[in-house]
Amino acid sequence: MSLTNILTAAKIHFRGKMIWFFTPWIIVVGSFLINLIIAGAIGDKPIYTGGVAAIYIYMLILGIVTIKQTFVFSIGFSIRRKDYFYGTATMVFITCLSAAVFLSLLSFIEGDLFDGWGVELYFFHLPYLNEGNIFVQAWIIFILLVYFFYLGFSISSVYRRFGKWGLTILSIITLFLGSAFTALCMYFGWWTILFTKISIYTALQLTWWLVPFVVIHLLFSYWMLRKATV
Amino acid sequence: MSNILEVKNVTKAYKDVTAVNEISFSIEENKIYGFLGRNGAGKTTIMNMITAQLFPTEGEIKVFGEEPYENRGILQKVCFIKESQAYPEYFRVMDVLATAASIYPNWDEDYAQQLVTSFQLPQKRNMKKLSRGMLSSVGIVVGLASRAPLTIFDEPYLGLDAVARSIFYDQLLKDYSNNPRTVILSTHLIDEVSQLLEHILVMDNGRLVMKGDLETLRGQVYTIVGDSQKVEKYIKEKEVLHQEKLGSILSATIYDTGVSKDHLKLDGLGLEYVPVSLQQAVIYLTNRSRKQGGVM
Amino acid sequence: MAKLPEDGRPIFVQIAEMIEDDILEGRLAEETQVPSTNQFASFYRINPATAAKGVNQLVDQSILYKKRGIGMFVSTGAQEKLREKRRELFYEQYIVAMIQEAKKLGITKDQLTEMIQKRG
Repeated sequence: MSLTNILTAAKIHFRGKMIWFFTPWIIVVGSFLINLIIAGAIGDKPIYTGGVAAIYIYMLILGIVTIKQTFVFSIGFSIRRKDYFYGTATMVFITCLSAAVFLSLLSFIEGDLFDGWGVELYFFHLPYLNEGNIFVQAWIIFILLVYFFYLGFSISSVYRRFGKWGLTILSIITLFLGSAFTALCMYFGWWTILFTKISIYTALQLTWWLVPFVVIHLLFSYWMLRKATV
Repeated sequence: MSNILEVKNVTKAYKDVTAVNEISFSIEENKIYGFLGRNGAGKTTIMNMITAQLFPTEGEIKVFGEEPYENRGILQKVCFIKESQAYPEYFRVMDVLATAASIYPNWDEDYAQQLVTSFQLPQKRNMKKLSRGMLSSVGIVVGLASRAPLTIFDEPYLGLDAVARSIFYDQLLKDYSNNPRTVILSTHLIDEVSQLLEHILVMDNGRLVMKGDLETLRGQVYTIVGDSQKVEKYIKEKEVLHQEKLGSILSATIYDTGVSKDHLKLDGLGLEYVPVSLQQAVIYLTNRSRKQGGVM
Repeated sequence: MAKLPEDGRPIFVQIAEMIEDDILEGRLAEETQVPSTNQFASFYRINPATAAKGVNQLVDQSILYKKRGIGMFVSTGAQEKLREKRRELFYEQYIVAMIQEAKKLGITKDQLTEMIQKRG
């Protein structure tokens, strides 16, 4: 393991500052400003908006796009698959951590300092998700961002490894398992149990359930890329 | 003479096509090789396997004595400039150079800058906005400045004009003389590079149809023109690749693997010796291998 | 950059011939240094190993010799040696061909001699 080589791979992503940093923030800030104007115009009752969800969706897409953008290029430029994987993980860690810090700071400002920016707009500070202190909030945001990135990254890695057909078959399997699970839930009345179980947990407690899924996605995408070709 | 590359019985088969069919060859250190053959002959597939970007269905590849797959030490000794190289959408020329600089241990930044100037490359321009020729030039700059012990150029001069091609040939020879390394030039435009080469490998339909020393080959393939009876007599015990008749004149192209040097004493026989260009020789020998079932 | 005649013959043979011509016509005097392999390579844009092969062919025939660490030099007596070699070739390449051509055109031996004398 050599840090230099991992950083070389990370830098390939870092050169795309636009898609890694600027674009998601332009979307979030843009959405925020629009909501701010609307909140200012309406102005009588508090507005809770899900606009910040855009950044999670964006991470999902970024995860998908990243492999297409850089994988073939990287192995074409004598970079090992392993170094590419670790380099990408480094970049994801930095991006998600900085985004989590910013978002939780904004949540703190919105919730505790300005209380809805004076117009009762709650964009960054949402009930349930943004409970707990600023560190707890940062962690929740961080793990969600990482999860969404690697969900997209895994999907894309299947495409890279097995092509169109691989992805189609994976979709069919997922769809089948999903419907089977839903049907079973309905038949045995698991839904209510499931929801009452989940609702007694806080967002923080639920993130611990997310960690193994993140690990599974990491391992799975690594396994796919190990044998992926140009 | 040490072999830095060994390809043993390598096959790459896809569902519907066998791109590379039981190929074996080796490559010696510090020589310039020509990897020749038509588009789709399987050249790029082989080179992708050498750099572990594709995996052989069968067979073994050793680069600098080791398996290239996930072998950083080996991969960084090989610089493969692909005609179809993909770049991230956001990459500018300078991003490509900076990335290459951090990957290849022997990278010479001054030399890279000098080449950028020679090829008049706009450093800040996005790779997507480069012309085909400029795209090729970026590849050439990376390939030369990386000074990788094994440098592979796959169709390096697509879209390049005569001036730029000329710069490439001159720089390649100059830098090769100063910093000897192994170079593989893969191309279907044979005659233009033939003088630069020491050895050639010729592929056709996924098979290797010829390999050897180029200068030897030049002496082995030639055409004899003259009175048909005299030509017939001359070619009696020789392998004829091609013949054409015009009146009583017969022209026969011969593959003379012996060391007879018969062609040096032709004037006395009233026969004319006509050299054959490498491009023609390759075409004849490719056809010959097809007739023989293609196995070398 | 100069161009070699693209006649398809081995390039090292052409390089050797060119050096021979330079020596025969006095452009390369005996005991002077011959350009290096790399100089030949970049001048004619050919593979350095090919240039070396041409030069080495002349070393084998003692037309050139190597001074360790300095380069290749023209041997003393190289010009005379080359003249002898080319004279033998001259008969094969020119005289035989000329007589054949003369026969074809019905030129007699006497007429041929006369032509040569007129020119000389």
